[in-house]
Amino acid sequence: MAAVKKPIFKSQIAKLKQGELTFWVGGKKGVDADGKEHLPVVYLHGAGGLYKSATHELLAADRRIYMPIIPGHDGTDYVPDVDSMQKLAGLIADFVRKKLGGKCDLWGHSFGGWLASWVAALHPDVIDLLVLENPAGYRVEGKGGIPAETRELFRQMFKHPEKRIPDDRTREMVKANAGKTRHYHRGTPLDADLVARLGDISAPTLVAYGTDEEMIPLEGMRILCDGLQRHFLIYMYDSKHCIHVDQPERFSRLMRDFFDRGEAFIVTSAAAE
Amino acid sequence: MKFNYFHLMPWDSFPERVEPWPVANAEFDPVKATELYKTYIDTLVYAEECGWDAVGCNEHHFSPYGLMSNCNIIGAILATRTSRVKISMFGNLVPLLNPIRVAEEYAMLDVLSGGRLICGLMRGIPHEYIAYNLPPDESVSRLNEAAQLIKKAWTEPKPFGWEGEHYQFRAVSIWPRPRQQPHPRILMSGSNPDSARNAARHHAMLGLVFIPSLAAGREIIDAYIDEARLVGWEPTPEDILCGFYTCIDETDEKAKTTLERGVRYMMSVLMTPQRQAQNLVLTKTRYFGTEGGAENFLNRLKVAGTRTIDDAIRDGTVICGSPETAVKQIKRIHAELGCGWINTNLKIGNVPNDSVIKSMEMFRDFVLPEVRDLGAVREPMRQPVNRMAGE
Repeated sequence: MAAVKKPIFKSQIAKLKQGELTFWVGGKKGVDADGKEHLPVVYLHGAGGLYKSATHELLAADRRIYMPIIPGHDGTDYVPDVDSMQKLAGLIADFVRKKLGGKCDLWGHSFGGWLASWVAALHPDVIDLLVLENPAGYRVEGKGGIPAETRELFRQMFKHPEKRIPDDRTREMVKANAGKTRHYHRGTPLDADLVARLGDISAPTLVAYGTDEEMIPLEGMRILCDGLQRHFLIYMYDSKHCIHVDQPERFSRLMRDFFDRGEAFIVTSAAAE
Repeated sequence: MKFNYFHLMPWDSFPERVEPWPVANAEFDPVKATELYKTYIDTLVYAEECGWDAVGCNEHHFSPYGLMSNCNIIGAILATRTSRVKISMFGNLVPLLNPIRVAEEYAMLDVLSGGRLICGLMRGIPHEYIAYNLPPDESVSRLNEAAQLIKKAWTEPKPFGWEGEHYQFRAVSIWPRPRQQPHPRILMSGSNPDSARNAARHHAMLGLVFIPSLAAGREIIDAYIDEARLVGWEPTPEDILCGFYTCIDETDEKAKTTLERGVRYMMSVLMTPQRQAQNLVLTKTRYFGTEGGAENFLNRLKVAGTRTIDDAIRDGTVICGSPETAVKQIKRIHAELGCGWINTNLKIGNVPNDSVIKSMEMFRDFVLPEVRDLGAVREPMRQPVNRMAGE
């Protein structure tokens, strides 16, 4: 694969009616075969906070990527009165409307996948295509979950930790982030309210699930897929919880193909290779 | 004890001269081959009547060594012409094939046979990678990924996609699914401790052939059991299948003479062409991936080629002799290896087909009644090894 020039993600702040939202942005504006500009991609991070991986960098070669920091994470403050998944989804939807022209392709990982599901269910107008990477919120019968012990947590997060791009956050900081999501979901392993609304998600949805995933049970993915109008469950071989870290080339190729061609991504093409 | 009837389907009249691999097919006689297939298939079907528990197919390419380039075709015939025996596949050579096709064809065979399939997910021997133009260095990673994908194709009730290192499929949902649930038993080869451990990680049956000694076989089986325990399951004797050249006649001498002739032909004629290609693969690629792996494989072949039948009988690595002798040999194998399956291969090289039938009938009448109940009382495979003690 040809070397990809690393984009520079910059931190900015969006002033929304609910309050301030910190986000990172970077990447080139690419166009499709007809010269139409690609939609921006919004990435919603997991409970551990924002970790910029090689997948983000590869995807940013021809797409603008926006990565909001979920309020409360990575040293940010909670936004007043935004204290539920539904309200947080509203905040993200307003961000898309105000900063991105009202439409994006949405990609959420783990807790971010849970949140992305809510955004798609409540605000279908802001989403064209949806990618859920090992999404949380669908843990049945108490299976899976975030391990209490830090070493075990990291073992379950990465199949290939050597692929991580170094960042300046300590393991303890990442672990501290994880507790912040309770502010929104109150510790519910299976979000029954969301499951009841999955049928409202009209965006074609790619569900990416690591073949070595331990935190999110496969049964939960089946509940998710059964509820969605149109979905594509893709097993990501040799991946644990953070597919974007374990398999950046494959995952970015898959997502690019999905974003470029929508449901037609199931038809192989030379361009996709 | 259970018995598998294995057949290589060799071209048993290849001239005794050195040919390079791939072997020119100018001398292949399709009319004779039609008769040969008929004879071989009839023999496999007869094995059911003679009391064998399974009949086995395998896959090899570009050589008179074996005429089953697609073992699923023979498997389909056996599925409809037999009613009781399991159909054991010592192919498919999964890294060479489209894994979804393998999943589909095995599912068909399982349904056709009424749930009697044992599915081999094999890596193949080195020269097969030249035949299908795939990098031998990738053989293990292809095997492991394909095995997971095949299991997923068998067990996933809804459409799914797969984004892997070697295989990418965006929409999979096979019809039919297998009859055995959640899926048929998987068999993987374990000719050395590394591959045996890999079989254990896949929760597969272990298939061993060409062991140089029972002690070496035991070492491989121990590696398999240890790894299985490490990944959380406990093998039983029925998870272990050990293969042996087999020849039974009225007397030890008669059996020895017949087998000796067949083995000599097998080693000096049928296996010679592929040795050159195997050497190329083993010396120019990282087929084994581990230090000494290629050397061990070549040594094993070399030893197999130089050992006499007397050596093999002494070491317990063939079943050869009168029925009384064969019973003793099987009991020794069972005692030393603890396997619940023995894989018998009777058509070695150019052993005459009527000798094969005679062997089968002596096995049925005099051997099987004496060894059928071996291992009927289930005992633990082995006490757990304390890996900390002196290792």
